[in-house]
Amino acid sequence: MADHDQEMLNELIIESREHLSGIEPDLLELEKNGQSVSDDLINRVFRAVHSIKGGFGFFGLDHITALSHSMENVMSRVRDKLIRIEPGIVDALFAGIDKLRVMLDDAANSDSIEIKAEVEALAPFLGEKPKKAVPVQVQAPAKMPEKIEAAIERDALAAHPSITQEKVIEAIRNGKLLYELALTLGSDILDKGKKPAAFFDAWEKISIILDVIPPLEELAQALPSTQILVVLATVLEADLIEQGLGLSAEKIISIDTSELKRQLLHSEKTKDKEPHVDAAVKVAATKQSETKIEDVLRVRVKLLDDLMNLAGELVLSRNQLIQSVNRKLSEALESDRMFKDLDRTIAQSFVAVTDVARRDSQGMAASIASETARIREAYKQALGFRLVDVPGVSAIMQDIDMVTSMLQEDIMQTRLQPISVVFSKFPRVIRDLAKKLDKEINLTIVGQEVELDKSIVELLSDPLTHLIRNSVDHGIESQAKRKAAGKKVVGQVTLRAYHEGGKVHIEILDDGAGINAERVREKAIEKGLVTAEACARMSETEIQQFIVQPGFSTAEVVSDVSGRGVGMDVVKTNIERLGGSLEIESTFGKGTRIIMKLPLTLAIISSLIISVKGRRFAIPQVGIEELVRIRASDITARIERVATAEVLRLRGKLLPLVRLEDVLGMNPTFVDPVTGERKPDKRSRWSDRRGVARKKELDDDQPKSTANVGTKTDERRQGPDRRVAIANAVKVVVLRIGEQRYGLIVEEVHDSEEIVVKPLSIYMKTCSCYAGATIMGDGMVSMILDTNGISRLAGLKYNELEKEIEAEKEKFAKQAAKQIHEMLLFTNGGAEHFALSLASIARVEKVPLETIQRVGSKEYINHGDESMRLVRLEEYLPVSGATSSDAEAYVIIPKNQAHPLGIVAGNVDDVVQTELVIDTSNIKGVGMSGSAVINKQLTILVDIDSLFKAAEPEMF
Amino acid sequence: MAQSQFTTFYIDDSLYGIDVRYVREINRNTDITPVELAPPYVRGLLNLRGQIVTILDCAVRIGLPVKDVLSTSRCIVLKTSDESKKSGATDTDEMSGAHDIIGLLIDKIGDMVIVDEEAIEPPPANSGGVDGKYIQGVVKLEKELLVVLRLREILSHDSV
Repeated sequence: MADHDQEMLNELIIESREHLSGIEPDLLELEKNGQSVSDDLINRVFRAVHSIKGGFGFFGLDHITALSHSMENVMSRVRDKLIRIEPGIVDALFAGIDKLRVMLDDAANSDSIEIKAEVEALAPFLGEKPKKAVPVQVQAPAKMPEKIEAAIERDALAAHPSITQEKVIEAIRNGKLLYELALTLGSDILDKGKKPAAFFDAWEKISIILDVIPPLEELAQALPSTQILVVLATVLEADLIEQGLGLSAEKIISIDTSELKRQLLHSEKTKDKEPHVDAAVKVAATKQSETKIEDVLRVRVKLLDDLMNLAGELVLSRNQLIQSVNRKLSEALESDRMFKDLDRTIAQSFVAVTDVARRDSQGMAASIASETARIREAYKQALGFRLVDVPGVSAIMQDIDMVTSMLQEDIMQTRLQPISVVFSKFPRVIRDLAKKLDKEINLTIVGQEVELDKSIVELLSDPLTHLIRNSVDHGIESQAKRKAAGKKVVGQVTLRAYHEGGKVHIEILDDGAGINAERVREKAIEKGLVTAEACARMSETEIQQFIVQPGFSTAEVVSDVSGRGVGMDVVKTNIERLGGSLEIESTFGKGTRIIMKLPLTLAIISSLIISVKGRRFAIPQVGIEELVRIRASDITARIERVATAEVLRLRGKLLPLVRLEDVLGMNPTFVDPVTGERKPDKRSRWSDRRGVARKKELDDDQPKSTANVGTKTDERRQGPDRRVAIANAVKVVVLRIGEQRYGLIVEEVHDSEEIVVKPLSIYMKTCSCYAGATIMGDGMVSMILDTNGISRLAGLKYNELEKEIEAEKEKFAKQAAKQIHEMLLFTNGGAEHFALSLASIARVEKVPLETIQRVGSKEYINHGDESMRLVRLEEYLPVSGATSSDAEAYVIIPKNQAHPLGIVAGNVDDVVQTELVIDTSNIKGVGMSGSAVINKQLTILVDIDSLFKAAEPEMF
Repeated sequence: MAQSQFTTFYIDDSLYGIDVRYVREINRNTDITPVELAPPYVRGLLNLRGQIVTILDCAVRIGLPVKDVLSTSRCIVLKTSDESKKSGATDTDEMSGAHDIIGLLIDKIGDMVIVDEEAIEPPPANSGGVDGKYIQGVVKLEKELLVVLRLREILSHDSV
């Protein structure tokens, strides 16, 4: 096949696919509303099938032509109201569409694809031979009033007296276009190895030849130079004819029929409306409006990809340019400063020298003066060019910066596609499924216009289909069940897309049976995915998430547990691969909501730059939960070993830790904090680390709970601790994979950056720890980490670890009574000693007694802009009160309280670290949690919660 | 008489060559980012004016030990299979592995060498520790032996 033929065929295939997708919703509408649908819609379907038939007929691809021909005939009978619309028709037409799609996939070999079944399915609806329908159409023009005659382009058709009025009108009614072709027998037909008869035969298949001059029979003996004039009516556009016949454009003259159409429309409006006539007119009208939509251009994806790459490159170059210009500018500023210093020095030495010279002779002073001036001038000139900023350079830089960003954004936009591309297939999917399962389902689609990166849209189709199928198959109950549950018989499935928080959310909502969390829980425990104990603490929503666990999704479970689960893990993995996430919300008996959160584009992602061993890596921000910095002195306390894994104690939960350099197999080295040298690290565990330098850690991930509590705690901090070294603080990036989290230990955490993701070549396909590579501002390539891959590579087995952690927790619970606590000791004027856990105190303030104000029976002090109620222990606890001799009192202000009250203390004695053995048997009551022996003294442990409750019952 | 043009280069002290039609450019930039866990013959990634090029260590690929980047080291950036098709290379199969831009790290670049095709002799089974499958042929030059490499093998990757 010649190149241009191939090109034309490809074009035709693309167009035909669009036609098919376009008419699917129309057919659904047709099925739903039956006879009442607009003729416009019927004609659209008719025209689409007709174009396919015409186009492929031209290429001699008989099967496509035959099938679309049958479909066209059925549609034409529908249009002419010769048959009633019944579900069977729509089924047969859908079957035809599906088969056409299959054939379009390999159009060149489509004739080897069997179409018998589809054609036979359509046959019953053809009833009588379609020809019988023709008279109906022909009748209409016969009734046409004469006034139309004037409108026909007599000039254009003047040379063709044999073309009748009726013929033209009929052609236009069918939405055909008229062309006059000026051919030369030799160059246009014979030279291409065709015989005139065969040439016109081929054209008869796809068009109606209205006239040929000279007549066909004369052509056999005609000279090659003979000019032939052909008038034909066809649905093909001029450019297709041009390509198909290999004619130059000027040989094809479009005959303008718009005036005729207008008149036709006018005349028919004034007479009795016959449905099919009306329809034909509308076809003409649609035709016109369709051709106007020319501001959309088809562009090769390859070209867009190239543009994307170039834009990415431009962004990088811009970053480099800005960096180097800024460096130059700061250099210039530096030399400016140096010059000023120099200038000052010269001036000073001038003063000094002239002073000396004045005592000597006047002439010498003058010569030194002029000499110095010359030197100064020379210096100025030499340095001057660096002093002056190139005029407007920063303004130019700003422009380049902005234009580049805008350019990149716009190019990114070209890759965006409306989500309707995927959504549009679901009405059909739902219809077919509902039919098969004997359910009635109403699908609502919202947010078709939301746009996403082309590559994401393409990859969304499968997961979405899966979720929709699940909703229909397992979510929506049978009609009987719905009735029994008191629900509407018609199930509702909603597909919704919208923007939120810089992401695109896609929701699949159904009012079906929902997920039975109880059954999921049983299954999860049975399958060993979770322990019964762990499960007991989980919320219903957390339990429902198990259905996306790989081990969970088996067919057996699905039939059992009111649905869901088949391949859900695959769906989840696919969504996560796109940088998105999947959430499930379900109410048993009410319905299920599945939310996908997707990035707008894959090409640029926000990521955190970290480094290990002097090498930078990017971690996609999507997977990052938080950053934790553990100062060196806390490492032993917070990083522990459970079985073979290191774990971090983070807000009471244990988080498995992974060291990036271990996973990547980089040789262990560390930077000596004293010498700055990189040395091999012999130690294998962070918990073994000992600092070399002694530095006070300023930054901490923990709030400074003890900062204001007297001086004694500070002393403790400054006390000898051989393990404090800032360089050895551990930085942990907490990453999330679905419900699970782990901590990645890195050396340095840098900025967050927008990076352009570049795919890795095939040589690195086996490296699951990378999601791609990117180019940094300085031009170096950095790897983008795949948090999922790293977890797999590190062999994090959450469930096993969880069991270990459970066991550990119990141990801790037993030890809790003996744990070291930091306690604030105070007295209240009487003999009793009191203690409060330091961790529960925000501040301790020393206040003069006269600042305490009394309102009724209550006392207050001014605390910032507000007044704070004070509580005296003796008022609520069976203890003695303050002796009023002191001029000052202490007020202890607890933290983590919504309405903090101040506790009055006579004197603050000490802060101690003690193994607290709490005795709750002897002393207990309101405001006391028990007693303990601290510093050989019986000490009452104050319970803030119950104390406050007693003091302000309405607040607590 | 048909002639072939070769871009030649040294690894250790031996001279190797690849057909010039497959060469996009020679790059001095050897700021290569290593890729941990990649096969040993993958030296890393290089930024070639905004495009990321996978650099294969030519020495390691043909079975020689790995060594540090030298001051004379260069990256020979190859054309992709599509590009070499367009530039009229006859044996496009030779570049079938190059879907993306690939570069070869070599010790030192040599001269351009033009030889008659008849002068290319079949390869010995093993040449200087180099597996014969990587060698397309050898050419006896005036002073030394030019080993013509078989790019198809150099660019092959383990199927996944």
